[in-house]
Amino acid sequence: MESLDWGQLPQQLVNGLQLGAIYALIALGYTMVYGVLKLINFAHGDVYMVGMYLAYYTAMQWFNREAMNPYVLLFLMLIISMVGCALLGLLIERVAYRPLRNAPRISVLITAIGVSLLLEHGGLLVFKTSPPPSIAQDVNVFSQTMDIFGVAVTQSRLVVFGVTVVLMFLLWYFVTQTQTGRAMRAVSHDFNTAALMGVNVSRIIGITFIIGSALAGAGGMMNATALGTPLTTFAGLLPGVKAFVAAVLGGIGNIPGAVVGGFIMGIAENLVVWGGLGGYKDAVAFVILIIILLLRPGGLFGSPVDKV
Amino acid sequence: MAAATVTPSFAPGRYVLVRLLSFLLVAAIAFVVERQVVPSLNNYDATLIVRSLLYASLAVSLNLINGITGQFSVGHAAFFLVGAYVSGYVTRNYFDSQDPLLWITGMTVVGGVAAAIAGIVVGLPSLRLRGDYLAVATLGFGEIIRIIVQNQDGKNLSFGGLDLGGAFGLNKIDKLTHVWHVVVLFILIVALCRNLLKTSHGLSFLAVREDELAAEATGVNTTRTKVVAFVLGAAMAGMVGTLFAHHEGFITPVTFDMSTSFLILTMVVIGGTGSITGAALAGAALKLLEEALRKIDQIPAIDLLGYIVSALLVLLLVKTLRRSRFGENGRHVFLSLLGAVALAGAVVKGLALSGDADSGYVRFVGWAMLAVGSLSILFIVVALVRRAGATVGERMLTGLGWAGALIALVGCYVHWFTGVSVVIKVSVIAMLLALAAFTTLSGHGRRGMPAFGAVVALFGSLIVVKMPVTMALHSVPFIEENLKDTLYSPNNLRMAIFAFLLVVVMLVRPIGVLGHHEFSWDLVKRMFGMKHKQQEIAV
Repeated sequence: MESLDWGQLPQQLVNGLQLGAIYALIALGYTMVYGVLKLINFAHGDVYMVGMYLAYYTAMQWFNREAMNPYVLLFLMLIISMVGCALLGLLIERVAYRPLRNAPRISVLITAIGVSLLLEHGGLLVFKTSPPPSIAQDVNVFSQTMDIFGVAVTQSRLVVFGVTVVLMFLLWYFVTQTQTGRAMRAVSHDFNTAALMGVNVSRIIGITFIIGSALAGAGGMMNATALGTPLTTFAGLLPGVKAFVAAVLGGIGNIPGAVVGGFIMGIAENLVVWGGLGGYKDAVAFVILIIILLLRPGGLFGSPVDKV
Repeated sequence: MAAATVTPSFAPGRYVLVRLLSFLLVAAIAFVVERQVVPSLNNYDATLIVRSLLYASLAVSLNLINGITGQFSVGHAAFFLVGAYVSGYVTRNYFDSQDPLLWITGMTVVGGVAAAIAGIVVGLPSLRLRGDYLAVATLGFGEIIRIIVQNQDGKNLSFGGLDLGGAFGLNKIDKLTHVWHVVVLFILIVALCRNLLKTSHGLSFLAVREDELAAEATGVNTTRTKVVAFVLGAAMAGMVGTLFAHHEGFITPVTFDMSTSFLILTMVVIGGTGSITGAALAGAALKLLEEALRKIDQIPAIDLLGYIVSALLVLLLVKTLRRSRFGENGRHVFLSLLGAVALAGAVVKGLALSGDADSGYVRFVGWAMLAVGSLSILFIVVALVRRAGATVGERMLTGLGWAGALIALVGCYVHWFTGVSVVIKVSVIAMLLALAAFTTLSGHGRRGMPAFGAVVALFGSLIVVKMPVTMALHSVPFIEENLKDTLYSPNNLRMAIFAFLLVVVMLVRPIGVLGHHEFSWDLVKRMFGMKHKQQEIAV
């Protein structure tokens, strides 16, 4: 193993922050759904994948057309990804999860795995996969590199980070300051009592899926645009699992925890690559997961006792 | 449930005799397979049998953990991998071709032990967790094991320079597996699981599944039970992995990734969580289906869309009929009619396929369809005749049905051997008449079709509804233009089909097709409507 290049460390940390922002966005969806339904929504990573594809098709449709401002195009991509994913999330909840509301939790979990497989493999029918398409780098108008204290930072990393922060602020506002957000917290705290108190639980669950999926869609759009990742229908599998680990790390059901967990995951992954262990990049998430489950199953910010 | 059949009394003499007889029986089966069956098969058919039996064994081994002990493990492919890689690596480097049978037996033990050790390493920490957390932890361990193996390419990331071929995998493993090895291993695994359930250890597995707290209270060491079940399941998967590696001769890490774990899980869940029979049947059937889908030509996109739309339509229809004022009866009439057409379709299609002697595979499918079609007709006939007979008209109808069905059956097989085309036309007409007769009977205020008939009928109605739906789709200009030349390869769709099955089974019958039932003649009779469920006494 070669010696570590310390000069690269700040660069890797910045890369980690950007990746972490994406993980955090996906992790929010996991954590919100788990908080309300106590269900690991395995299909969430695939909703993120659909977000990537929606952004790609939007870019294909309108890029290079006259009179289309590039900034407007990016905004349009973001909105279409978010709305499309929100609808998909709602559809999944209605068709697959709602009929099983009173079934054992394991049945719902198996259904979630089934829906995930269905989206990945059924997606082959709908989406272009060979050769794996990617969003043209010209679409991304924030591609210049800036020099901040000796670290090369592309503008798009800053934009991704900024948009993530804005979305998280909106989510925080929604959950803590609005009536619906309060109802959501009530359902998360105690499903049955909330229902008895007159909260429309079905509606709240629907809204949870809509918001969580929209955030995943935003993550997908930003990742696909900023990095130009080649798209396959399996592109959501690993990020999904890693984001889930992030949610567990921060304490599942805990919204700030998911954000912190996401950033930790992104940085950890980049540090492993930096340490010359690139081949184990994907294993790191699982190692963190198992350590956290064994030592502190409630997560960093969760209560230390229950949840398992 | 299995627990009800436990008899604690042992007669030693009878015990020894039964063991001896079963041993002889297994040996006889192995001998017949190797000497009689295998020489008549071509390479492809033999591979088909081996793979389906191996996956059936995998499903049975996972069923011990997930179904019988009630722990939710989603990383089973990792133990499959450990068995395959350890034994494959040893064979590749040290095999001296002295005594292949002894070697493969030894390797099976080695693979099993290696996987059992992996099972302890994974199981001891993760079995402290429950439910979905256990699922995610096992998923994580499974992926870690695969990623570690994937990095062992003799270069800088390997442990001690171990060379397992990295992402390219191990090749040139001596192909030592014979078909009978796989048959024997399958029988052994099923026998082990079944016999285990008749011991007190097995009962403690079931107790942990039913209620962990109550089990603990009655003195079952739940942690130990869970770990034992986990390690046993892992060891079996390792043995299966050994035979797999020595059958394929070439293994890559990708073969053992998350989707393989999900596939094995799907088999267990669809078959019936906790049912050894269900796991074995679903394992073999899904693997056969997977291999079959590889062989089928590409499907035009419109056909596929037609299937999807008609599946939704049928589900909707059944649901509406159940709620309508025709009630149960209306649904049964509908299902019976569609089932009649479907069975006829299956037999005719089977005949058409089986006539094509060029490809052994197509012939195989033809035979299968023929067998299923005619068997189901026979069973439905028997089932309906038992219920009929109140009035003269009904008796006459019954007679007509019997006669038609018999003519049809005989006609089919005469055609099969002689190839005279008139015979087949006559038999199809006779069959349709028979089915019409029975359908009328079935709707005559009697109880409807047995479970098996209903399943066949649902598939049949899919085929029937699909025809007009596809025609309708063709007439929509937008769809016709966009999808005209699009073809899909069924091979790419196989996991999507399994996933769809998984979701549907979960929504319709979360306990799996067989539930907790094991194979018994009672169950078969009930499925074919020859016997009714005993009236349950309300407590």
